[in-house]
Amino acid sequence: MKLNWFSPLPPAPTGIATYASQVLTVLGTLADVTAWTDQPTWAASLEQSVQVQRYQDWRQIPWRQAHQADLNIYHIGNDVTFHGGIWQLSRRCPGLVVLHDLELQELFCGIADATPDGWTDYVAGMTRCYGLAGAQAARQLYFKEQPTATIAHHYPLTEWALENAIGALFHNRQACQTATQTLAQRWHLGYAPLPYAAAPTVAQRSQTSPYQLILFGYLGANRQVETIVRALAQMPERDQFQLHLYGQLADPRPIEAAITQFNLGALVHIHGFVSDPALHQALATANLAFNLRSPTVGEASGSQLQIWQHALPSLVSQVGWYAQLPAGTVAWVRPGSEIADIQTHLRQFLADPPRYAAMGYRGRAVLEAHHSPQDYAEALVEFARTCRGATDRRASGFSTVTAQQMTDRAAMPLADWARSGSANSRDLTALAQAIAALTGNGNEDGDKVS
Amino acid sequence: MRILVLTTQVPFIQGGAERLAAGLVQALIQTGHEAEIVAVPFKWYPPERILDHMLACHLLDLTEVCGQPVDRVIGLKFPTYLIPHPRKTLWLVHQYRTAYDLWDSDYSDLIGQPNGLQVREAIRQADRQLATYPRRFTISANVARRLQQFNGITAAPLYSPPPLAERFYCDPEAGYLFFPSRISLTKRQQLVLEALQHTRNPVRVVFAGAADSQSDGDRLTALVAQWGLADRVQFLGPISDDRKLDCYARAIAVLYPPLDEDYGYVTLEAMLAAKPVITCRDSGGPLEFVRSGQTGWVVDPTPEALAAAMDEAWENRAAAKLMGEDARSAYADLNISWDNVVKTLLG
Repeated sequence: MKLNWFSPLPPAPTGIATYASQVLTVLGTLADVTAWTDQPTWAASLEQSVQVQRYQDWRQIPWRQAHQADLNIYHIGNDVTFHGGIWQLSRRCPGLVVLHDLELQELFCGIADATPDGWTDYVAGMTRCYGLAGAQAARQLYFKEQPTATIAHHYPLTEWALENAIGALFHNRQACQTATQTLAQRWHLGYAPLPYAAAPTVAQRSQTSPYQLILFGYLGANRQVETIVRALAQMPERDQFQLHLYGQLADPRPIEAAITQFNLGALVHIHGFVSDPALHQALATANLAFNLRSPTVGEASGSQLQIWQHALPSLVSQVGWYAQLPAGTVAWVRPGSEIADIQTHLRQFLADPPRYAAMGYRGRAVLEAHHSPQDYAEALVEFARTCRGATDRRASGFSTVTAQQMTDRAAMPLADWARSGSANSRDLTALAQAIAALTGNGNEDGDKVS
Repeated sequence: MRILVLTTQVPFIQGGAERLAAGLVQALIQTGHEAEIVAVPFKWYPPERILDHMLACHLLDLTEVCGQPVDRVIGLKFPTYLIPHPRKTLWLVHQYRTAYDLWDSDYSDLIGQPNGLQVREAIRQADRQLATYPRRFTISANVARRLQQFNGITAAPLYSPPPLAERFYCDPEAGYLFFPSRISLTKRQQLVLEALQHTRNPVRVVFAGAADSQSDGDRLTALVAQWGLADRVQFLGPISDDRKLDCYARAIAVLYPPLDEDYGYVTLEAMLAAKPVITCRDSGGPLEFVRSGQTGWVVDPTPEALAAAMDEAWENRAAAKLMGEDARSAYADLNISWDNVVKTLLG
């Protein structure tokens, strides 16, 4: 099977690039893969597994070359820098969309900011997906009457992300099951656990005080960094911990203010971005990780898999994908009760460090058993074959996209006619039957509505 | 019977398909039926317009007109052969070839579009409807071959005479090769111009026919100037029927090297005018009629090979005349007639 792959590639500073590197290494052995990128550079090691094809801009794809593949795979997340252009491609050339985030308001607001008439398109998209309520929410967001996170939870825009897609792959099982209730009529839906290549061995770590606590990645407001700092600050036992922050703090000011306010300068260390080896070393020697996400945007967490790779115990928010993690592999923190739960866990950790260490090893076992890139790549290829379809009795995966486009084209005039009384249910039935017959989305006869 | 012939129309473009549809209607009328052409305007760009046309055709109701039933429809081209009818016969001129044999060729616009693959699949899926025709014919074995190769659907070739078949005649040659056809990339007039650079003799070629687009015509004019062929090449543009008959009659031979032509009236017109045909191994329809060395030349699609055949015709005019007479006899043996077409289509 020939596949085109569109995602950020290493060394792009995003976990999806790391994911891509790990998956492509295996995927290249299962299919003929071309990874497409608009990055000026990419890790040379990728070319041992796949062909890499550069393009200047999403508007300038050499489509004759791209159409040699059976299917395009598009990776969609919230960072408009990496995913804005990919989404624009996905809506023009139907393919398989891998959803790295499910609540995608940040992506679409970023696209709105970056394109002429972008906000007009954004309001139209919200209206199309959610009707009048969506239009009102769009205006509230535009005029900053509501934060993006609040809007995102109620109006995730997942459907807009799948505009013209053939199918969607989720990394969140519950989200996939929920989506099946509403989206399965139109899209092929699949689930595969987010993969991560486990390093062969786990380093032995010190189990004595002071214990090393760690946070890493893009540390936005939903990572609850300030909450963690304040929870630690209020504990008499705080001197038994050292808290290390790696990565980018979205807004360092409240963190620095809290450190100053609570005299935590000797306990809390802001490292910023470090090299991958340095981060791995830090994880290898840490005793407990924080991986809170409140709110979550429905993502499966590559950071969590990285934590498990080091058999590191972790505190996670009891929400979304994190709430579905096997019991005993993480320690849950309830949204709204962060400070109390963090303090409870830290005290329990002090009372029984091996108990938490065992939690980390159980997480490592889950990683090895269920998150292998090999299993993921095999599942992806199988799902791609399903999406592509085109057997003797089953229409090509493109057929649902075509059927939807035909329906959309006919819907507007038909709605006008229906309002004026010129069209009736027989006309609608005839239209549905015609679309079904032409696109093979009916039964075997092709002349009945599916 | 009341019979409708279903075809597409590209406004301001006239070619063999239009003449075939007109010929069929005339033949049906002469056989005592009521017959008319239903020509649906067709636009293929941007590609999503193709989907619109497919749906529009499939929604048309031609089962009756003004309360009177339409007894039969005869489908000729995409997408009008998607118009449903309980009593339909297919006489396929050609499918939408850029979704099939021309998909990954220099002549394809579809493959260069983001949604090109999707629209290709949509066309192929819709063409499964062709299997619902109880009686299926094609204008040539070449078209039948494509239908079988790409769609797994069988159909029988059914040849028709070219327009004005009874009026073609042969006169002494007047020192030129004749290339009558619409000017477009797939007809490959440019290949003939390239061949003229390789001929030993000062071979002259007369082209007749309208250009599909301004750019098609301008391209060839520029090449003639660039290659210094102005004294050997003549572009007549669109010509009257009488002039066309005369040009055939006084040609040494007829040049017709299109790329995988569906049928090719030009070949039959040349045979009727008792002229040999120079064509190429990948020219499709003409190969069903031209026997290399007997009724014409079948050569590789290269300027050098074409030039060699052109030189042969130019140098051996007596032999060319005999080949032309053999071609006319071969046409007579084929028993191509509108009577046969009508009888076969209506079963």
